[in-house]
Formats: sequence, structure tokens, C-alpha cells
Amino acid sequence: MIELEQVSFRYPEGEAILKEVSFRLNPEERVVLLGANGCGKSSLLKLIDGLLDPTGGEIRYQGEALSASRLRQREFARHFRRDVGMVFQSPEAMLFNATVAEEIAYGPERLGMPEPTAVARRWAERLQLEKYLATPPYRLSGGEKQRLALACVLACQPRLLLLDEPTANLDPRATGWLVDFLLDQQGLTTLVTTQNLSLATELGQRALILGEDGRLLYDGPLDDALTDTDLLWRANLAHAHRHVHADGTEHRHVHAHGDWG
Amino acid sequence: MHIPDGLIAPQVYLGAYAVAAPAWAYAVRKVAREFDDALIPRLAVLTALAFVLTTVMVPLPGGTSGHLVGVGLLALAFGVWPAFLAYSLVLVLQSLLLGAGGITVLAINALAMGLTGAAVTVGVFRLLAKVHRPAAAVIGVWLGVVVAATLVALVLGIQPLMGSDTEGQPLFFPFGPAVTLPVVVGPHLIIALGEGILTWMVLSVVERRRVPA
Amino acid sequence: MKDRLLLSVWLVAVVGITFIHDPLWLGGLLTAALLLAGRATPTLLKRALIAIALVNIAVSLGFVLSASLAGEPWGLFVLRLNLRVLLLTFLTLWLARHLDLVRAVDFSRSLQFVVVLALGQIKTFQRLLTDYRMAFRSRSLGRPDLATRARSAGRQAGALLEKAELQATEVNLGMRSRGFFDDRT
Repeated sequence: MIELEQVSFRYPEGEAILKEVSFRLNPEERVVLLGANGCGKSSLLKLIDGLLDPTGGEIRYQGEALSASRLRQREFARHFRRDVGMVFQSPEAMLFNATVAEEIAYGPERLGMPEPTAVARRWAERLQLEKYLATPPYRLSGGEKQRLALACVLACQPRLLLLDEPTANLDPRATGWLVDFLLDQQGLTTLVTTQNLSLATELGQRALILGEDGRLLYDGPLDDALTDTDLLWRANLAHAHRHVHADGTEHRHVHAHGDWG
Repeated sequence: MHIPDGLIAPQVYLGAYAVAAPAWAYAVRKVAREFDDALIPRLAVLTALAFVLTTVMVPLPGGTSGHLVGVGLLALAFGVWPAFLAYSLVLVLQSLLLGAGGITVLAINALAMGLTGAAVTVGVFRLLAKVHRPAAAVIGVWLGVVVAATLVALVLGIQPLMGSDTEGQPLFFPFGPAVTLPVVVGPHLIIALGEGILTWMVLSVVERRRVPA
Repeated sequence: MKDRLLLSVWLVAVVGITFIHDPLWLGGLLTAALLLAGRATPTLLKRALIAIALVNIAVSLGFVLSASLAGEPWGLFVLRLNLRVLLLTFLTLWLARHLDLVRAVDFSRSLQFVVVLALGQIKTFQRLLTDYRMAFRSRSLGRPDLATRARSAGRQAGALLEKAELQATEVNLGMRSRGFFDDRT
């Protein structure tokens, strides 16, 4: 579905963020993208969403190279934007309509889907936002904005869903809902970034791990990655600390905590 | 320095709107070209920035403080036309959201501070930047604010000419330029200095961080 | 629709009032406005009086003084000025309380987007500023001196400026991701 070949990225006049990253996402795959803070997870998602241009290598969507000039062609852009949906880590960046109802209906309306208002209502209900339908999005709390951003993207029925730390602002109930929802979807490909290793196991079977130097450290089964403390330590996804026992002996060991981040 | 509603004659403030309208239209075209298709998000963020900047307190000697105007900072960081548009939108928000500041006099305030003040600041800065950047910024902002205050003082000062009733009592603001110039411009000679110094402090920090890591 | 109408009526009223010079009329209109505002009147009136006090007292006293010295009448002007400015300020505060700005600008989709986004960003910036101030207060002992306060103000504004650049990029990408720019020419 999406293929990255030797993709590198740096901001103008900045340090390299991603170095020669290669992988492919197959249809209906559930993939989690793991990595420490600032290792380039968000940039990688934005590259796949065609929002940033790689400074090296190539990204292909259904075999076709993705580039700024290709995305300026309206037909391709519409088709690509319909198929690929992304939820930003800070959801307020993608909320710009006057009310929650208009916000959710925006995508379906643009894509010419039937009855966008009814679609919006349905998604608002699913994400427990129905009482805010007439409220401006900027009045919502952080968690509500996150749910709204999700609703906006899901209402367009994307085939590839990119989620950037989707549970960062969610309470446990909403997190549970999201996990269940994603598992229920047929035909959906998902790539989810997180630092939360226990959540990762619920969101995918395959893991991509980005190292702090911007290189892909690992691409393989998530379960294997989670038992490889050396790998997690190198990716700064696990921490080491000292234990002092009651008898006065002490030792260091590496910990991978599930519920931090 | 903002003029409230009710002191300025309609022929003056409506005239100001007539001058401001083409300036706004030109600014939108100009900024749209500069920001490419990102006009809406960038203008929105800039407006929000300008709105919140005015709530930053400028400390003044003696334990008091005033509010930052921020137009000089915006103009130096983003250019005159974006600053003019953002500042005009801030005046609209202040009026319609907070009920603060006049709507009839909005065009006068926007033209004085948002356009003339900003243009003077950037012009002076460009002229002097090669000699001494900090001084160029401080003098630029200082002169921008002082020129804007002078314009406001003059607009107020011509109000006695705009009519009087049968008893000879004025219909609008009653004092001529001999009063308004010293009263309005005087304090701004000092306020503008605070604003200028603060503007340079902010710019130098931002410029230093912009240097590639 | 309701908000657009409200905005238009208010605009016409405000401009119209600047053409009225008879204190009797101005006083009558002010009385009507105070009555019509109902329960909100005391709050709004207090806020209006505070907002105009400085300028109006200075201008009124100045005029009374200079007119008396010249032996000229001043009563009508003082009434006219104060009634008009108070009426206009009161009406504007009343409007701000009742107007839904986002709905009022629905005549232009682009303007509405700008307003919605700006209001959202204002919240983000205000949160940042509050955090900065609290951090500053929690780290300073006693009343900080002028230089320290100036440095703090400079840092607040600097942080806002940097945040603004990040936000502008992020919002641009967020809108692009949702196809906002694909339908435009």
C-alpha cells in the first residue's frame, strides 16, 4: 500500500531527522511505530501523509511516487486524501470549522459522500460528542478535541489511518473504545505511533522501532521486540535503574514500563 | 493611545475607512501571495499572536507597567502587511469579543499603528540595521510608536473644526493640536522606549535560536 | 443569521449615534438602552463607566476649566460628550456579551475560518503565557526588580513568537491533511 525506500528527511538548515528508512505497509496491516521522544515519529507520519517531502529516497503510494508536484494535481490529491487519514498529536491543528457538527461533516461533504450531516451526527455519537454538536471545537477539552479529530478522519472512511500518539489525551474509557474500534475495522490499514508499550500490543502485531539517530532499528513482530531488552534500551524505550535489596545487595536492570508516556 | 468611540466626527472616521479599505484589500492580496495557500492558517495564528502579545506587560520604572502594543515586533518579524492585517483583526476581536476599543475609530487606529507605525518601524530598521542592529530595532520601534501617536493626536486635534452647536460648544473632541500633541505624544516618548527595548530583547532571542543547530 | 443581523443593527446604531448631538436625544437613547438590557444593565454599566472614566473625566475637566477661564458655556458639551461615549461603550459591551462572533461572520467562509482558528490559537497562547507567569512567580523570591521583570516579559513574548511559528506550520499541515487546499484554485 505504502512503500518507503531509503527515505531521509531533514528540515531546512536543520539536523537530519530520518536516515534511510525503508519499509512497506501492506493492506490491512496493523503496525505500531515506536520510538523515544523527538526521534522523528511525527515527521515520518507527515511524510507518509504527503505533508512533508523527503530530502532523500522515495515514498510510493500504491506503486506511485508521492511528491509535492504529484499532490498538486487535484485528482490525485483528492484520491490520496480520501484514502489516507491522519490524526495529529495536537488535534487543534486540524480543527478549523465553526461547530463540532460542521467539523465532522467537513470531510464527507468535501468528498461528496451522501448526507454528511447525518454522518457527522453518527460519528459524534460514537465518540460521545453528541452534546457538543453546536459547540465550536476550540471550546472543547484536550481529550474531547482528540476524539473530535478522530471522528473527523474516521468519518471519511480512510483506507490507511495514521495516528500520532492517539491516546495521549484520552481517558482510559476512550482509549479502550479506540482500541476496540480499530480492531473491529475490516480493510483498514493502521500505523500508530506511541511510547506506551502495553498499548502497543493492543494496536498491532508488527512493530517499527525508530532509533534516536533517526534510523530504523527494527521491523518485525512486536512480541519479539518487547522481549528484546537490549533493543528497547537502545531505542530509549526502556529505562535502567538500580534496585537495593533488603539484604544490602544491589543490582541494575532494564525495565520496559507499559504505562508511561 | 487608542481612541474610543464618540470623540471623532463621522466625516473623519468614515474617511479613514475609505482610506483603510483599499489598504486592507491590497494587504490581503499581498499577504496571500507571500504565504502561498497558507494565508488562512498563518493569518489566524498571527492574529492570535498579536492579540495575546498585547497582554504581555511592559515593565516601567517605579513598579508600574503598561501593555505591549506588539505591532513593531510583528512587523519586524513578519513584515508590514501581515502585521497590518493581524493588528486590524485584533482590533475587531477586541471590540466584538471584549467590548473594548471603538469600532467607528477602528480604521483610524489600524492606519495609525498597524500601517503607518509598522511601516516607519521597518523602514527605520532597514536603514540603520547595517550600522547597529539593536539600536536600529529600538529606534525603529520608538519612532513607529511616536509617529502613530502623533497621527492620533492630529486626528483628535482637528475635531474642533468638525462643527459646533448654536452656542458655539464643540460637537466632538474639543481640543486642538496645541493640546493634543503634547498630551498624547509626550507620554509615548517614554512608553515607546520601553516597547522598543523589549522588542529588541525578544527579537535577539528569537534570532539567536533561529541559527542552525 | 440572528448574529449577522445583530451585528448589522449594532453597526447602524453606533454610526447613527455619532450623528446625534442633542443631549436630550442621547440621554433618551441611553435610558432606553439601560432599560432594554434588563438584568445585565448593572454589570455592563459598571464596566462601561470604568472603561471610559479616565479619558472622559480628563476631557470634561479640561474643557470645563478652559471654557470657564474664557467665560464661555460648557454644560451642553460635557453632557453631549459623556452621554454619547457612555451610550456607545454600553452598546458595544452589550453586543460583545450577546454576539456569537463565529456565526456573525458566516457571510465569508474564509473569514470564518480565520476567526475560528484565531480564537483557538488565542487559547493555546494564553495557556502558554499563564504557565510562563506562574513559573516566573514560583521561582522568584519577593518582588523582582525592573531588569528581571523586563527579561521575563521579553521571554514571554519570545516564547509566544516561537510557538506562533510552530503553530502556523502545524495548522497549515493539519488543514492540508484534511484536503482543505485541494478544492481551491
